[in-house]
Amino acid sequence: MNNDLIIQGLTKKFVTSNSVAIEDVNITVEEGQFTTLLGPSGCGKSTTLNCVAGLEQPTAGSIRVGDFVMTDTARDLILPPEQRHLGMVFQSYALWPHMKVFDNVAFALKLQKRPSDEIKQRVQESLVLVGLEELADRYPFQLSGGQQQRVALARAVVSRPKVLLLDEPLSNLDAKIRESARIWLRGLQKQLGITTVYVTHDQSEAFAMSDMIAVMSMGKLQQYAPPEEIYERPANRFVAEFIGVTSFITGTIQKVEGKRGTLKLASGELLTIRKESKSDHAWKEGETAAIAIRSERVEVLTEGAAERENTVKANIASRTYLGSKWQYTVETSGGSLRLESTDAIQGDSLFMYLPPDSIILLAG
Amino acid sequence: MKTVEDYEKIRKAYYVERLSIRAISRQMRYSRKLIRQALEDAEPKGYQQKGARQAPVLGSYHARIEELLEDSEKMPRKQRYTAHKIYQLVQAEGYRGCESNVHTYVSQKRRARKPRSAYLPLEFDIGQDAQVDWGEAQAEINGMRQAVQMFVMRLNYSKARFVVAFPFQKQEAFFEGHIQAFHFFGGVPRRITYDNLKTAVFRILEGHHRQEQRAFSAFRSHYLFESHYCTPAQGHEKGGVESDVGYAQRNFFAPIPKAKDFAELNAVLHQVCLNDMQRSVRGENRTVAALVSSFELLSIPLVLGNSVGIDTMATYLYTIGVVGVNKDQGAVAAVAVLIVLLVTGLVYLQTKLVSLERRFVTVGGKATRPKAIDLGVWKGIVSFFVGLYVVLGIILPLGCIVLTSFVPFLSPFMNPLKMLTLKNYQGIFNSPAYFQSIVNSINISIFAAGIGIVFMAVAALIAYRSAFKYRNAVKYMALYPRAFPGIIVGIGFLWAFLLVPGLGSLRNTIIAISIAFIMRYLPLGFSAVSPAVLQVSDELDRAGRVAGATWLGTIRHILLPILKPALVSGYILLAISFLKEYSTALFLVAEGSRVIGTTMLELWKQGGAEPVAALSTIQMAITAVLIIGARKLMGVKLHE
Ligand SMILES: Nc1ncnc2c1ncn2[C@@H]1O[C@H](COP(=O)(O)OP(=O)(O)O)[C@@H](O)[C@H]1O
Ligand SMILES: [Mg+2]
Repeated sequence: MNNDLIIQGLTKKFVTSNSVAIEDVNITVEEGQFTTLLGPSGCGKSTTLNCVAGLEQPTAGSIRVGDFVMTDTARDLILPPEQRHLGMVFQSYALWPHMKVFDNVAFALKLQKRPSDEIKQRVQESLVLVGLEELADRYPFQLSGGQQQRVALARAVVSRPKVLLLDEPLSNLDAKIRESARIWLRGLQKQLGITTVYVTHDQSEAFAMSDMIAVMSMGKLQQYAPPEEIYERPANRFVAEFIGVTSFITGTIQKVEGKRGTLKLASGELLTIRKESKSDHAWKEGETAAIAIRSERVEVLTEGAAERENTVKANIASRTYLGSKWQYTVETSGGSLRLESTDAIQGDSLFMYLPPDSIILLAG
Repeated sequence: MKTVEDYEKIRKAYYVERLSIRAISRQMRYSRKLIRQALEDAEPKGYQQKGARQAPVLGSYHARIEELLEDSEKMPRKQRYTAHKIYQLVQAEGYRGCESNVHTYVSQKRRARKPRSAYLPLEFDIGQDAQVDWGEAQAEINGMRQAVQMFVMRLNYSKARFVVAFPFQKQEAFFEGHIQAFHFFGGVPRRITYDNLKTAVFRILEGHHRQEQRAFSAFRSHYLFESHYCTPAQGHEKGGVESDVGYAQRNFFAPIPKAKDFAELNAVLHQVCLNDMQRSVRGENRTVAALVSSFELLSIPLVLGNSVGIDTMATYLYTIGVVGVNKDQGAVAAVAVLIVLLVTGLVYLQTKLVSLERRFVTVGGKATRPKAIDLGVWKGIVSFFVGLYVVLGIILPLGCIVLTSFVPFLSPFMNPLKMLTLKNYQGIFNSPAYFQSIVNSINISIFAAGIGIVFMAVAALIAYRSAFKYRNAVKYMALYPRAFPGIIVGIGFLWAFLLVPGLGSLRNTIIAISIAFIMRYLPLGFSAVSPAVLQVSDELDRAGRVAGATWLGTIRHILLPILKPALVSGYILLAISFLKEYSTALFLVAEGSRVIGTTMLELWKQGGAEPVAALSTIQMAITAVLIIGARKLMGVKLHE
């Protein structure tokens, strides 16, 4: 029996601001997987998550876990949050300030009218899981931020939900704790084997923790792929920029031969590019296309190497000495890029070698 | 030897302008002894009433008549005793007086027993201005048609009229007319205008002789009203204003009344006056006048203080609707509408301002410890000013009130500690009506405030924490009663209780007053609770929902407990307000449903700040008990 979380065609319009918060989002989170919604602030991550939780009512779309349909606007079905049996951790932890740690965690079980020994035992288990069994009698304000966050997690998993939703749970923590909390949280998720949707705007967090990353921008899903693929083959300029790629060159696709093609720059220089099996970008002769490349993959050549293939001449616009290396801003006929090199290059220009395997062809 | 004019000046300065004996002595250069003497004079020297106003023969039957009335009330409507029947009964028991005296007494008592007339809270001051007119009318006395002299007093703003007839035009009759009118209205106006009096009549009033003039001066001095004359020549030139005599002739003396004697005639007139007053309640385009007359009433208790905005509005309405002979009722209505619009605008603005509700969130799910701010060198200075404020703003005035309540009178010339007395308190506790008002106030404070705060909290939660379609309308409605002065809220409820079938039975209970108070203070409670609701992050509710609680469950288990301190303070705020409130109650109070506020007004009117101070002290004590009790009982701890 499969318990994947399937989000289809999810759209949410806010009447008040008359804006589309998310549009046609399709995501499938396989059972036990850790999926991260990644994107800049305001891109609709929380809205997506809240639609899953039932805290927002989507304008269109369906959400289900296996056979359990929680939302299906076509059938006018939107279950209220309390009927979805999910666990959720909020950005502010949302611990109830008037309840002790024990009561915070026990709340869901008490609502389910479980016998009190069972409640005690399961709360205890949850607190042991997050390492806070000693602090059951404290009030939330008597805990540190990290401890509060762990209580929030214990509370979210105590009723053994099938899906765990986390909305920027680490963003309120100090940078130092945050790194260890990541590892801890991911470990816990694996131990529980719980299907998880995690929201963050921090790409290093997303890469460190996720099985799958859904990059979002302006309410739209830009790319949904494993971290390595997002990193190596960002689907479009937005994703590329968001994961820190700064070098882009535009040109015209000139020749396509199977999995190889050529990009011609305005200056006439040619770049060999390779088509990835997974990408289904426009790949037509005569079309304008953009490529991206990570600066650290670009080799800066001394003069005279101009005859090598995939070498482009660039004019140096500015140079900055960074101590151990130099940073150059250079201009090509296809756009400007920023490069780093240990060599102090004299003169107005340099040559760059762009390895074909590192060139990323972006969608139009 | 000082004249009555001096006495009058002194008594006015003391009772009306509320100057101290010392100030009077300084300003007018009278000795303090003389001033005290003037103040103590109980009866005006120049006028001694001739003969009792109540027929003495009837006096011994008062108790019996009251007994009969009581029995009568328990009987089916059709079989109740008429005044005539009562006359026959007491006659059979040996009464030898005339029937009209019985009628007068019965109608007086009936009135007292009945739920009080909605029109005018008679115990209170009847307002600022009255007019007196004097004229002739035809009546048939003992079978003989004859001219009778008619004394008419009219309250300017409420148009309530009192008419009494005399066989002759004499100063004595004039004075008697005044006194009966004061009794009828239940108070003395500040100023009486003698408008359009014929020169002859004017002469009678003021008198040719020195002796007569002094008598009128003494009379005014005793009753502390000011007299004001319009010259006869100006007479009736103000178009459209019907003379009071003319009105009385047409309405009270047509058809020509028949009576055995003047006592009977006056009993009939008395009833006619009452009916006339009732009629003006029922409408006749005077509803606004009735409202406005309430402002007359309210302008007096300024001494008791009131919430600022509302009084200003009342005074404004008062100015445009009341000053001048012709009330501009249209303008009053216009101002009311304007105020409603203004409030609507303000409420709209407020909802806009707080529409981004999350901006006000300070109670997030991320708990923090409250920190004390270290003031450093400022500590001493801040403590000093806080201390100064506490002493000047709280301890001093309250201390004076408490002190006043324990002395027969507060005077700068006597050591108050040497004349401590419990008289003021005894006066209050020995009067069942006053005591009842304290009990009522306590009940209203405790229970109505409790119900009220729950009601207001529910309103705030629906307005700010629900998906209810009309939640914005709830915000408006909750703030709307703020637009209306308490007195209007009171009148509104009075009418509601009168007009809506089924509510009538509530009218004379403290339930009626409680409902009116809750409505009146809905904006206060709502505004006390709403910020607290807005401060609580909705992530806390959302967490509750996700954990499996319904909307109601979330409210019950999460929001309400978090809001508890705010609710308790809101409760205390309401309880204190209910304890103090009087204007809303003015029109609603009935025999059994007096409250402290109305009793205080009553005491104030009877003169003497001391009983009022005693009642205030009691009020403060109750307030203190309420605050401490509420905090203890509800176990509010803001921080661990
Ligand atoms: N309650 C709301 N009313 C109107 N607009 C909203 C509301 N909540 C979010 N939005 C809008 O929807 C968009 C997505 O918001 P959100 O999902 O919170 O972004 P984030 O990715 O930072 O979590 C934003 O542009 C925001 O302005
Ligand atoms: Mg967000």
